[in-house]
Amino acid sequence: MNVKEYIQNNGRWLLVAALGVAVFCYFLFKLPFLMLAREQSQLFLWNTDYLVERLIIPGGLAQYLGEMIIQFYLNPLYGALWYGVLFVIVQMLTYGAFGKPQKWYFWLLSLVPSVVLVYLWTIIHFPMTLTVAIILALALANLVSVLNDKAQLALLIFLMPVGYWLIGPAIILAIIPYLYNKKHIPFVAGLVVLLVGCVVLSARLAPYPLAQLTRGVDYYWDDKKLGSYEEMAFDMRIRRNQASQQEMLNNFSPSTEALRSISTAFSVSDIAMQIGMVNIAQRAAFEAMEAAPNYNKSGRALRRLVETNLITGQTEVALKYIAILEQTTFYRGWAERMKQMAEQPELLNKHQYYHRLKEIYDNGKDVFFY
Amino acid sequence: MAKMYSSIRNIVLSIGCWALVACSPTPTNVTKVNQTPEIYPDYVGVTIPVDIAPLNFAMADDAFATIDVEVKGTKGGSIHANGDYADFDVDEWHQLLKQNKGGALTFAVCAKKDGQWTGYQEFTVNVSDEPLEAWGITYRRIPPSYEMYSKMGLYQRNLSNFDEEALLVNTQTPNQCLNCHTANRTNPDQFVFHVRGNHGATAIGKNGIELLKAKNDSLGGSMVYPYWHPGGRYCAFSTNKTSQMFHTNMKNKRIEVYDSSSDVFVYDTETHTVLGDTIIMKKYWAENTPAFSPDGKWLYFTTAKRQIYPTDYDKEKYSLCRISFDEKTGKLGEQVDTLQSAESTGKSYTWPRPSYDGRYLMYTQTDFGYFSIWHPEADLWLLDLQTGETRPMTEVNSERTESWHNWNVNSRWFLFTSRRENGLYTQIYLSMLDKQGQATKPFLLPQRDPKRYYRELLYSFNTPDFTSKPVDYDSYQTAMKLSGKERVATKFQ
Repeated sequence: MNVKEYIQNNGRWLLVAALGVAVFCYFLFKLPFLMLAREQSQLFLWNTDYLVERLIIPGGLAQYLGEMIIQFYLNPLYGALWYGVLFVIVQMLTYGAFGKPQKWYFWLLSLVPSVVLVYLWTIIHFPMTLTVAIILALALANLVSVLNDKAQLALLIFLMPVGYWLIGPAIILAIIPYLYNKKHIPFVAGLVVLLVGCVVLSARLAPYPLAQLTRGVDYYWDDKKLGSYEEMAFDMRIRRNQASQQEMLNNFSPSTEALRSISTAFSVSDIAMQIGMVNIAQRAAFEAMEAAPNYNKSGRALRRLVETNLITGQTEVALKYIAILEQTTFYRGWAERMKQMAEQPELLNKHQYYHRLKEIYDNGKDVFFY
Repeated sequence: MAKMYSSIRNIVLSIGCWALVACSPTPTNVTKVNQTPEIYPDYVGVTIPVDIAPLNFAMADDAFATIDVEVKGTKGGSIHANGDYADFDVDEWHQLLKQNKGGALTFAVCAKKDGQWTGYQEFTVNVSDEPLEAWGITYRRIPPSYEMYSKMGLYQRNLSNFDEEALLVNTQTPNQCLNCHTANRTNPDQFVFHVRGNHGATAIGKNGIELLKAKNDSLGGSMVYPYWHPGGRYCAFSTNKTSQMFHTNMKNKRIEVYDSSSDVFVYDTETHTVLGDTIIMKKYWAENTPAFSPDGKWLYFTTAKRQIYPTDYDKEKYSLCRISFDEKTGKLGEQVDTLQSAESTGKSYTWPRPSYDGRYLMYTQTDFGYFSIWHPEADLWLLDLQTGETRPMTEVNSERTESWHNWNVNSRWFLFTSRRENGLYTQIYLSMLDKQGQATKPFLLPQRDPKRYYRELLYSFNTPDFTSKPVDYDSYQTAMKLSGKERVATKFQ
């Protein structure tokens, strides 16, 4: 088979792969700061409590898996790779859920969910939970599509309550293959009623308002503190030592107003550390963490708080945070190194950066800031 | 929800753990040492009530992989635990405690590190015959944060086991803060709490939940720190305009919380009337932290001459005072008695909490200010109302903050919060006051796996109190009501 024939036979999948690569490039080169901003608003832990805390809330499994993916965004290269792969996965699952249509225009329609998700990925208000929920729902739809009528109905009756609890309202997508047969319409209505009943009942079990449960507890963050692209981009430049001193000083203010968004709070924390204002850096990092929209904690913030607590002599607090970071994938190694410093204070005194900050902290005049 | 959490957690753990439990090694070739073990929490020598949850503990040193504990009662009975921490069976524990009420338990601990077992000197835990007379405790859990706060909630905890249940969490009331859950002398049939935010309210629980408007225009602010009159009709509040300042270079101090103004008043729950009285709402003075005496005849409060902030922040020192109160008329007396004078001592007093038997008044003393949780020097003091003598409770105080104390209904037990462990995250401790007025060594609120729990917890315990029975109210209905528009307006007199 020559190249032309290969393309003719596999053109659609080559197109999807190419679009996946384009998505990868887009996020890596245009929106790396967005991926960093997503990662800094969570703290994914490999322990039972973290998992169970999510499983007891509707949509918790999707949230857990979504956060598992987002932890990789600490390196935007991995984040962009995830986006490219997820783009392709969603397209393939949509294609399968729609019964693998052969007509090219139906095939094109299978790209729509992927394209919509790409748009949503550019909006920080949409966490990865919705994407994972859609993927899992479409995967279940693919499973439904291979079963006979009775088995489909039985599975869907099981999935409405169980699937809702695990992935949220997106479970409704699992019904797609069942819709092809018009005779199923009354049963579909029944399944929808069942799902609605599950949502209403969940308001009695889960501590969230019904409106939030209906739209998915963690599908959307209605939060003003997430920050703008400009703030995220500036924060990234500071993290990468690409911001000039003048830029940093122009954008530094320890006031409450300056901590208006998570990204600006982290920027203030970074700048404050560089100019030796450790308590301000500490406060800004803490405020950033407490502002995380779904009440998550923040690996980046805890990392900063380890530093500031060691410098200010609150070693036990630093050790608490270190113990938590040791349960992460990408902060673990750093935490283990800092643990040595916590247990052997002389190492802190030998560290050029931390020792200097400690000297400034110990000898500086105390003033108040607001 | 908490029960669901416990159930799911237990299922997940038991899937992985049953095999491990079966394989936990037992002590062999034990090397005896002549010292008591360093355990976490430090329960060595504490005194506990007979109905407390198991005092599970681990070796303080993480290097110890396995612990083996044999517990024997001086009046008979024994239990055993073996694993990476001592996890006592709840029923067996209670049986042992009942059998040894008024006696003591001896703990024989062996622990394994680097393949070698070490056997320690036995230590004792006393089992008091003084009843706790409390089903559990209530508290708020909140991060020790600055201005932003994430998840917080009001919780109740069964003291006989490890069950915790959320009463209300702020995921149910988005963008709002919940605080100051206060029952009437540990009886949750009457309670009050606040919801702060755009759609806030003061919730009074008394034959149902009544939501008061968050602010009273005549008052100029919200109702803040509450304390019920024993009769149940009145509730004292403060009203505060609170602000924070943040230190740049103060050792062990991050935040200073202060009020630009505050007053105390009594609220009549039957007529929805704020009973203002200038004697406790003086201009240029900040009245605060009210508490009624157990007989309802006195209102304790603190007061300080207002200072200029930030320059004179450390000059605002509160005296501890009281004024008479007539339950029949709802009126205060005309003379204020000063029990502890800030001017004389140079210290500041806050959070007066009289014991329900009328004998003592426990309070917190700091160098200045009233928001003691951010003051490492804050300590508990005990005023003997019969003799007038006051003393620091050195048997329970530490080098770090002690505060937010409350009594159980028979005034033999008390709880308080402390930051002794790390200076930032507040934990709950319990202690007993014997008939001589001496407190026993405080013990940390038991948890199933306390080392992991307290090490990983990123929240502080706040304003704990005993509750004589479970708080019985519908969290869902309360949240629905809070999201509605119905609020009862209060009058000002």
